[in-house]
Amino acid sequence: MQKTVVDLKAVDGVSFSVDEGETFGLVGESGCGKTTIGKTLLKLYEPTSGKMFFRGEEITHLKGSALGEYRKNIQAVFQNPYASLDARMRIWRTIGEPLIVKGWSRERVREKVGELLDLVMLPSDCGSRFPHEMSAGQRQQIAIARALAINPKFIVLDEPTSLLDVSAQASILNLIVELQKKLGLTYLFISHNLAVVRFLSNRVGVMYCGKLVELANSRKLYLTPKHPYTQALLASVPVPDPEFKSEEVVLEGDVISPINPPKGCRFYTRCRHYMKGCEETEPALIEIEPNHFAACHLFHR
Amino acid sequence: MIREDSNTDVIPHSGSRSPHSNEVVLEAKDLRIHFYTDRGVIQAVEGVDFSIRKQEVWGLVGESASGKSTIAQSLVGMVAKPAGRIISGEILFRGGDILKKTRREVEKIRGNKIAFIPQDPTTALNPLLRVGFQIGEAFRYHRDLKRNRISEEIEKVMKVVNIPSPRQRVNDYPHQLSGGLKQRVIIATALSCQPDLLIADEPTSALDVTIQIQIIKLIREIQERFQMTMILITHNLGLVAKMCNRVAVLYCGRIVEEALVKDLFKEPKHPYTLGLLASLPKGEKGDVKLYTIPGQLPNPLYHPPGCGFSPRCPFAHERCMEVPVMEWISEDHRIRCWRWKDI
Repeated sequence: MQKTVVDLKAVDGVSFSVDEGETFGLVGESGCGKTTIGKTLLKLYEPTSGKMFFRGEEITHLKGSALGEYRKNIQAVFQNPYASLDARMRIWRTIGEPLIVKGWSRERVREKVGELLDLVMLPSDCGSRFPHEMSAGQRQQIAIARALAINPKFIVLDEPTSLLDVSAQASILNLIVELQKKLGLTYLFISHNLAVVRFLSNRVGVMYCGKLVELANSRKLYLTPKHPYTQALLASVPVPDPEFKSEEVVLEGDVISPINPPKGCRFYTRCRHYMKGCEETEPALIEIEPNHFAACHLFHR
Repeated sequence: MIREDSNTDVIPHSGSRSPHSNEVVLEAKDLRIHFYTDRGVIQAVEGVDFSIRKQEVWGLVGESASGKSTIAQSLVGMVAKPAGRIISGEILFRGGDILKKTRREVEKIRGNKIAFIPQDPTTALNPLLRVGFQIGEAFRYHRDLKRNRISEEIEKVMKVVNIPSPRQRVNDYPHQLSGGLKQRVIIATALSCQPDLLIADEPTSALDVTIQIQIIKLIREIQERFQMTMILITHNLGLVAKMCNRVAVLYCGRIVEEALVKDLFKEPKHPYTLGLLASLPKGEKGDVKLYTIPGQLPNPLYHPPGCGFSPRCPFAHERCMEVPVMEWISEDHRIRCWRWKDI
């Protein structure tokens, strides 16, 4: 999959698969391309090159009614529930909009919305309220209910808790886990918060500057990170325990600009394992242990 | 505006550092701040007392709308007027009450004796002015220095915050700098007059993790080197664990618990603190269900009567309709809860 705007490669040669019923986590810092991947899967962006498949069928260039069919399977929950809900629409209409589009009668829509509110653990009487009457956490519950309205198989969760307080975040995370169990959903979970991704994901991909640099199941990735960037990223998170002493890996400098990136490894400017040649050739994502992939010259022997 | 002592060097000699002494730098007593809005009165701060000891890093944690930023603003006379009104209280700093001072007197303190690091470096810097000029503003305002001395000082303070090649960077505009560098510029601005007290309001919340750790390290180094007293306002408990000596937990405009950081994380006493720590995501998928504090944060216009946390508290009983008194349970640990002994 590849996407080019001017000559900014937001996502550059990324391949991955998401298994049915699992949560695939994508982590990375701002500008690394994780949201672009989510939006491309939602068919909000057209990839410049590459292919995407959903349940074995190619969806890269879907148009018209075929695209509509595909979109019944895939829904999204976005980061900011203050921007993603229409302030002038009552909540039952917001949640029921996809059903109204499908031509459902008003009574049926209201009934279904009641079920959905129940499913996301909101009181059933809040359907007649407006978003401004709800807290940030409740708004995110509404956004989730709307995503579930047409029984999708796959949901892209793009930083759904990053604007929430800790206590609201906990209830949304529990809800996301529970819905997956109940409905057998598949998630792509995008976040910069490593603890949250760990809590939710079966497998995790780490992105740096448009590239997937490491991919493994969640336990392996967090306990034995291989790529120097993943190691530094994990060591950078302040742990809420004053007695926790960790090796502090402080990365110098900033993320390089994805406009005209170096032809070799994009991380070499900040890498503490920099070797001669890192700036020359790009490391491929290779399997260094069963189901543990990393893109680094350290493992290319 | 002229400072009496001749020491204008921004890099003082680092002496032997004690964790923190018992000398009090700033003390707030019974602080109450309300905002009068069209929709009603927001009781943002409802009777807050605290004292900041010399050379310590005092953390103030709380969720959104708990009043933490309002407290910070009141310390430097920046509570938004006319909506914001200070109903009662004293803020004692260097032998005077900041709340009783005139605007001019407060201006002499702000940026000079008490400095402020805001959350978002992008909105805090003026996009039309060169960063060197913005760093030098405090010098021009608070010190009577010759022009060439000012540029020396600017360069010196830029070196303190590790801005590479400061001589070229002074002429940059904010948009030419990355987020991390902008935050370094802000910190340089705050440090320029060697404040006695530095208030950092969510200094790393707008930054990525790898940049955040750079800034955390820098602030910690500077705090140790200059033996600075600091107030750190944040919602990030990881940051508190990493940086603070003591911490106060704020809920609905009241401090509900205050303790040494190691005690608060090891033995939290207040039901809200307990809930907050238990709701942090931890472990792998499927390991645990996170604890969630029941209910929602209250609407700031209608704070519940009595203990603000009682509607969400699993331990609440009738007495919680009265506001609990602050009780010292050990030398450095105080708590505002009727039932802490039963928990």
